[in-house]
Amino acid sequence: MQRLVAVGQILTALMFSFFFCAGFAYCSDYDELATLELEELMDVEVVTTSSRRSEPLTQVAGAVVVLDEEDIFHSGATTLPEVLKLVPGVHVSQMDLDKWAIGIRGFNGILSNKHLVMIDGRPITSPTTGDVSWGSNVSLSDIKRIEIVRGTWTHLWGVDSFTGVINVITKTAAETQGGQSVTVAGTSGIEQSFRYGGTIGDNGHYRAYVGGWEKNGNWTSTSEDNRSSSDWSKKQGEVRIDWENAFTDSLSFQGGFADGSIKDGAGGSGRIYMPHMRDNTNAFGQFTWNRALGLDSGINFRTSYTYTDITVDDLKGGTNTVDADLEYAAEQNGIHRMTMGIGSRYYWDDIRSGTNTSIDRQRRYTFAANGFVQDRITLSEDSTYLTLGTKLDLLRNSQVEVQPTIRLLHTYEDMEFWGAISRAVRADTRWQRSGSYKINVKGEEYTVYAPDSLSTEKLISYEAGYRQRVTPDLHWDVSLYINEYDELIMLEYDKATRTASLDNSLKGTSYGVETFLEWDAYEWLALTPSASVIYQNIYGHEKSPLGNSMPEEGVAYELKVQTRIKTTDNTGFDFLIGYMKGPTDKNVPGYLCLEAHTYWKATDTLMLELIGRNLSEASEQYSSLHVGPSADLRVTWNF
Amino acid sequence: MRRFSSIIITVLVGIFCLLPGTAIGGKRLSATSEQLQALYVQRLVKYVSWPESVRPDKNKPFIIAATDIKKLRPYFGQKNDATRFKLVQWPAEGAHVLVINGAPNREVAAILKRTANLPLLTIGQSQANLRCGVIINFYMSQGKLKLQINPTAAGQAGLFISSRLMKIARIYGGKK
Repeated sequence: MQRLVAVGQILTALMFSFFFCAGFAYCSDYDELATLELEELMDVEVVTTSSRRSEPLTQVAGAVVVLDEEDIFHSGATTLPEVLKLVPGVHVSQMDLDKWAIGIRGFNGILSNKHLVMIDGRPITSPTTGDVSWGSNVSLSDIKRIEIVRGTWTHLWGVDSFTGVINVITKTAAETQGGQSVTVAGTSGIEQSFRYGGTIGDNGHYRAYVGGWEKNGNWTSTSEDNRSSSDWSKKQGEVRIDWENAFTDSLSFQGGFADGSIKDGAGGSGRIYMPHMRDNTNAFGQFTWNRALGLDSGINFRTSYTYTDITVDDLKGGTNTVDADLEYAAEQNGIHRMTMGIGSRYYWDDIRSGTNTSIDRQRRYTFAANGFVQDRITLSEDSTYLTLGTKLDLLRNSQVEVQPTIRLLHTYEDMEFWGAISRAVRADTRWQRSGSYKINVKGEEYTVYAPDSLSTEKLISYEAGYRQRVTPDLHWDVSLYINEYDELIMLEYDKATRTASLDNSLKGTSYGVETFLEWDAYEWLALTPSASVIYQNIYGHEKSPLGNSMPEEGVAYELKVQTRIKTTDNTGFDFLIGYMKGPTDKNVPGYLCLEAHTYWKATDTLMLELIGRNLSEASEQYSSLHVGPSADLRVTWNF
Repeated sequence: MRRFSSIIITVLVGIFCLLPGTAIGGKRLSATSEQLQALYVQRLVKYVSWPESVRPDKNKPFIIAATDIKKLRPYFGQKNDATRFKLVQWPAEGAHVLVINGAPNREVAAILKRTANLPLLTIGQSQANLRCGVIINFYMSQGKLKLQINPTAAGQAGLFISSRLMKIARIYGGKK
């Protein structure tokens, strides 16, 4: 017993002495450092502080989420829309093999989505139909990050960004040096891509990419409908050349070409047409020049050309867009930090109408221009910022729209509070103002005629949010919004003539809340639960808007948990489980989403991944087609 | 009582045994990179001469600007520092020192291009900064923070670097 007491006394002594001396050493470090002369400082060892992972932007008065390479990898996504499922408030539903219905804060109809999608600043939202050709855009392994802005930011991005912005930023050529092969094979088809990057002189880099796929998807048929698309083949190539000197300028050129075909089963949309083979060609080129002028200050010029094939039923043709933007970001000047810019877009097409589906050929050219200015005013240093901004959009028919915003951000320790009031408009698309087509409404066929007299859709948006880094491993974000809509475009039906026409008669309010937690519970376990709820009280002349992916009245919500488990340094397991109930078509029931991803980094250059999607059950996500389970193996080899 | 006194003795013996180790061995000081940079900046001003027209009066503080003020703030304003130095966010009028700590290379190049002829002691922390014309550059060597001096850039700014500082720093002779 006495021996135990003695041992206890020794341990007590050692512990006490350790803490005493450690505390003494800690207190004395600063005092000692403060007394050192210049020469003595050169002998002080530098310790590094631990770095953290990429996180949502913390100095923005808005609901902004940034998905980085790690997020994209752990999602197990093989296409861009699958990555976007991670973000609360972004509704992602697959309609057919090559069609996704994606919306931000509502409006995820294939032809009525009201947000802007860009790749490196180049808009890929179609000026013709307002939709996005999600199957022909960017290789996931080339993406550096995806910035998703939920809410109204038309004061910067203009009339295309009514409810939000999705901006995909790709890696620079310098960040993709060497070779890479990515193979995806499984129940949904096979895909292969090669990428190689090298240098040009001392300051230049390039990369080239070629790829292609043959896909049939993972569709399951019902007895009523067995017309999912199939035999989707695609070949595409891209090149990027960057030049950056050690001084102030950088230049970048990007170009790409994609050609493919698909057997369109005509079952994925509300429009009525016969199944047919659909060819699709896309091409683009973009040039960017950036000059740094100071700290967080510079001039950026971007211009691009985009060609897109358009095929709707028996209507076929090609669309061309040339756009240019010039932006100036001024250095902080007292309490002001100004940003301003001008831009323009010229659009023309050559679309030949079919027998069932047609479009007016008289209005094939559109010119639009815009200018914006924004000032971030520092009300209290490092804590309170007021942002005032507006954009002027010159639309067709010389119509000018003003889209102002006022935003306030207050930060206190690890907390951020923000609020915003904005006005936004959205212009009609070429398809909405001059297209004629047939749709199915409750089993009855209607022919839609465009009046070409539509005015802009209007939105007054009230937003607020709160973010907090509760602990270094726990981050919480919540956003609330009230969107008051007026003059939204809807379809008016005439049962006698079985015709329908577009009209600005829809209005109402939507209320929503989005929240998520990022919690690194343990070194081996990270959890990201999220929830979004939207209540839409939107009405028109009809009791409830019908067809053509109109917003539905009532509550829609999504609950998701993304889990990352790191089993060893080179292996891990990720899964996403959620309940999805979209905000656009109430006839589509909510469904359970279960997706899994496991990986093994076999060597420093070889990564193997097994990806499972829709593992719970085959379900309707948006259209009457059922999306079934799938399993794919992805092999990434860097050389 | 006996037990209590034995504990006290044990504790004191323990402290006695550990303290000499520190004193004899000499404690190896360590600091974070930001802390060390702040300490350097506070001393470097003693070894640089500004033109009389811009040199701060004895009762006025040196104005230290930084491209990322938050990284340095914890290490300024302690004890006597508050009266000797005023830390401000760049861009700032009337700054004597500019610490470039966290800005893209091209933005640094633009800043240095604008300030090259101003009596501003620019302090960077990369070879790219040095090539663009920074006057003093931090670099790591065997886990320690060292100094490089660009005398050409100092001369262009109208600043005089003391011989003592020139002796302990590595001299950069590359093209500006």
